[in-house]
Amino acid sequence: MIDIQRIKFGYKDNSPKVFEDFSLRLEQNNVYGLLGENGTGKSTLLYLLMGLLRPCEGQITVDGTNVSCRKRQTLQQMYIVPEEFDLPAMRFTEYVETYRPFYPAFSDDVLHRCVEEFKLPQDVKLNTLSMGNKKKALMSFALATNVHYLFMDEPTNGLDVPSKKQFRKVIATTMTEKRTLIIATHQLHDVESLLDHVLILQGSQLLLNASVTELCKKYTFDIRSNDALTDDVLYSERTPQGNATLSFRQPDDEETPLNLELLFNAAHKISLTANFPD
Amino acid sequence: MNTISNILQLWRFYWRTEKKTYLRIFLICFAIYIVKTAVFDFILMRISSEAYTYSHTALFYQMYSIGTLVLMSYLFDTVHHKQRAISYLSLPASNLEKFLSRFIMGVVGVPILLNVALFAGSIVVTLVLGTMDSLAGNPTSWMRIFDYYSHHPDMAATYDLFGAMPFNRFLTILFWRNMMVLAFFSFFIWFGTAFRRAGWVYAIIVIFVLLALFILVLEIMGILYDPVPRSLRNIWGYGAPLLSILFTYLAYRSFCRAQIVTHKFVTL
Repeated sequence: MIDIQRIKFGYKDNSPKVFEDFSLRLEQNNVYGLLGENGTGKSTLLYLLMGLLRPCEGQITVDGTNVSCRKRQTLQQMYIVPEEFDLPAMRFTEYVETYRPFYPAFSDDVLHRCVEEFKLPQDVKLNTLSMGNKKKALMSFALATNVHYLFMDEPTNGLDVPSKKQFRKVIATTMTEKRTLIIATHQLHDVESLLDHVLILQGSQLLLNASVTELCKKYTFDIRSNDALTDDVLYSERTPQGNATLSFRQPDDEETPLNLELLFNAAHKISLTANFPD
Repeated sequence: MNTISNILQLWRFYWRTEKKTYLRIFLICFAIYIVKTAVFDFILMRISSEAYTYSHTALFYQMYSIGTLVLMSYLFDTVHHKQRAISYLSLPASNLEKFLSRFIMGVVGVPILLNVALFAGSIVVTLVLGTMDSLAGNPTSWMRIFDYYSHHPDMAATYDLFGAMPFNRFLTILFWRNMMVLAFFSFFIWFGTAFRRAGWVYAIIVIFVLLALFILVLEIMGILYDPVPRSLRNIWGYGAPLLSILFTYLAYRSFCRAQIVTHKFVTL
């Protein structure tokens, strides 16, 4: 379990803090979607979770250990796929041989599955690959490490449409019971079907922290005509198909799939958490 | 025991990911030695024997020492580059293991690498000059291969070993000398780790300022031109190991506090 306890963090002493008295608890066996507008601290939060940044106040613990200490046992259970990264001038097989000794739970089986699914070229130097293929290579390795906490920063940036589908398939098939995956992204549609939990950041605080089950139990996401925009609609926006609406789910209503973009926009316009019916 | 095997694992990792850098350092050092020999020991000596003086070689080894210290300051340069720092700091090994593995690599591995490069340069120079001497019908001095050793400051004490110096005294001198070298190494490693850019420049500035203050104090005390008193030598003798420990600790602390922020001027 990841426990963020009242942290305060800013890049510069005099500038506004990215996080101020920020607390959050992340349970195992969940796929978290970390959403937010530019500059709200999604990447910063992932770096803080990895112990790559240190909060000015408060602390972050992973399974009871303070991540700022960067202990071997803690790092063995964590992996980050950053948005931008460099890969060394070596073949993928060499890369795996170099880095795998640091991850005791490394799985060749998972690696082969990912490599096959992504159709990753293995006899090419990694630094010569396209950004999309570099990302696939790093994600394949990250998933094969079998760490308990996997953080991905904009994982679908640079991936083409078929690759995004492959990405979803790979994530869905490699998720294990002990794993927690946190995906920070702007590409809401790319990850919508994967998420168990939604976190929306705004202005150094959490705007929304709710499970997808909870959201789908409480809200209905549907398309309505202008005539059907009744009082129960909390938020709506026009789309070519009609009005995409978010409304309280009535007892007789069928459960609808989560519309993450609509939820994201709604959360910024209305106070969704406050509107949760008891 | 676990830490030792983890450090070995990290060394294997460094070798796999950084061997081109080590090769580059080796080749640069090797090339510098060849150029130095060609210019000072060969061309200048043949143009004018007066131009060839021991001071050239001494200057070379002074530059070599400064170069080694500059290299030390780049030992933890990885933590000052965001993408490389993410990869390195998130690698599953403790701060202590990462620090020790690099520190040992720096204070032991780098001098070995540089000495091997100089010795390799010495062999090449000997072979080339020896062949030229043979062709010219001159007697070949194959012992030239050890010229490198005879001028190398690290080897000065070794030469004394074969002289009249008692073995105990030789060991003592060697120990204190290495402690002094370690103090300088750890000082530059600390500055290189703490400062985001060009830590070695700040280290040199601080050394010059401290030296100037020291000279000023001696001048004020009126003992600047007197022989260094034994008590002062003793203070330095005990001070060097203590300074080594202090600077190494400060470097370790800076490394532990390193974050992936690129705008911070210094991490103390």
